[in-house]
Amino acid sequence: MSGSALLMMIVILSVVWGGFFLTLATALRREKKRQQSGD
Amino acid sequence: MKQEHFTSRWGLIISVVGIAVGTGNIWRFPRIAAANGGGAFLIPWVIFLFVWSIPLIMAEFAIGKKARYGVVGAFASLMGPRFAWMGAFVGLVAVAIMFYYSVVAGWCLRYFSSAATGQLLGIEDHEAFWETFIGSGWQPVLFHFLATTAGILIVQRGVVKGIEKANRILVPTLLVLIIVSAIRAISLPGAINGLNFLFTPDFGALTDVSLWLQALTQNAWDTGAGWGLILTYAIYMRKQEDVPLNAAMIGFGNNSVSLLAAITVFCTVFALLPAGEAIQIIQTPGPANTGLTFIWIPQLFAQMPGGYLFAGFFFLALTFAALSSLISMFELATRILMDLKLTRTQAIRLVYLATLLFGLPSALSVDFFLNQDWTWGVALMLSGLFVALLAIRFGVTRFRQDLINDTGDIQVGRWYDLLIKYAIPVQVVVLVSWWFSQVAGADWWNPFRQANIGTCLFQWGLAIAVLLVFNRFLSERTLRS
Repeated sequence: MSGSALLMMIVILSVVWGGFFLTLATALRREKKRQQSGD
Repeated sequence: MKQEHFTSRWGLIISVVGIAVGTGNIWRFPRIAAANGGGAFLIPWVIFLFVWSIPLIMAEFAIGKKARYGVVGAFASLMGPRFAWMGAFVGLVAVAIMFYYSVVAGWCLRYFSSAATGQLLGIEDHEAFWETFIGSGWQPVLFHFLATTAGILIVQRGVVKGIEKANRILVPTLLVLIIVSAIRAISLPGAINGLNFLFTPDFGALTDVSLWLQALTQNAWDTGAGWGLILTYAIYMRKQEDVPLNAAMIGFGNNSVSLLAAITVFCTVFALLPAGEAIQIIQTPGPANTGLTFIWIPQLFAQMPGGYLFAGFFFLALTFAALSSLISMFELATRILMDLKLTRTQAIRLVYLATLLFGLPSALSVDFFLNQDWTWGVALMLSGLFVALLAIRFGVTRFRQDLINDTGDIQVGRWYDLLIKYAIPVQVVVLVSWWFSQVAGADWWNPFRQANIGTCLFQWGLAIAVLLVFNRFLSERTLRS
């Protein structure tokens, strides 16, 4: 795999998949906090 | 009317992911990415996720949650009764798409049944198989009926027992199938060439305006933003539910699935064919844009070890993606009728009969199907514009502060106001103008052509005229308690 393709793959996957997992993790954390506070 | 609610945040998110992830992710995205330079296309595609899809998904969540009405009532209550027709137009566009999308879901079901029985991989001439299927008349009609019936059986059970429960099965299964397919594709010898083509950036291509417009179109069509479908599911959000984080998660989740689908397709095609031929095949639209999915993919599966299983996975994923989107369209139509004071049972019966009947022309004629796909596909841009106009009339800053940031896990800043007020309308004007310029031929005005300006203006104009006539009826009956 060429260097530029590898770099591009890392950038795109970081933004798209990274964005997904980051928002998912944040939502999980918030939901846990909400449940603990009995909201 | 007793209001149902999704049982949890995850029930809502899974159901909305079911809307967003459709055949456009698996079927259209790889072809458009290949036709527009692979890696270079991904840059504007990601940018438009932030300036089109996520802002409109947020707006839809906020509108549905605040209004607690379907699209007609939501526009009438938040924008004013004079604007019920705008909500009705958004609904009509989604319903018109529903009529032919049920046919597409039928095609997917047909190919899954062929793959599951082993018939598909034994076929020698796949183009002839497709032509025979589509030209037989009774077969597309039969599978359109089956797909419609399956979707209606889900929706008639209600939001929690029907839509949420079905999506809790369909969406995770779909994700597992796509992930397994991607892993299998990457493990094929030579698959690295597919990844190379998909991710190699040609920065020179970024100066091509059409590349940007294709990327915007892909975002507008495959995330479900601005369609009114997310607005409809948002009616059933719990009051304390967050908007910005959920919207971002759905946008990212949808595009993550598109990338997985593209990795699967590119790796498979490049592993089994020489590079030049592979690029040509991925880019070929084929009859009714089915070239890659229905003509080539089965041929490629036949050449690979375990292809029988892989083909079954692929077409099952495609069928589930179509079905999870189709049921959201059924719910949109059902909810509009329920707001007009029909019972859920009456509304669903009407939606079922209408879909069976008005889906028939698209099932029987590919030309009619393509006309509808063109007309209402471009009209989706207007739907996105109308959603933005609602927020503008409501007061963009107030819309953000009161409807989006009210219970948010994260707070949205002033950038959102600028996107809704300026970026979305500009994108709509540019995109519709560009699409029209692509088909501006000598008889651009002729309303009876398959894909031109005239057919759009005629069908949109007729729809808007009828909706304006019934505007008072729609707003009064919907808002009457």
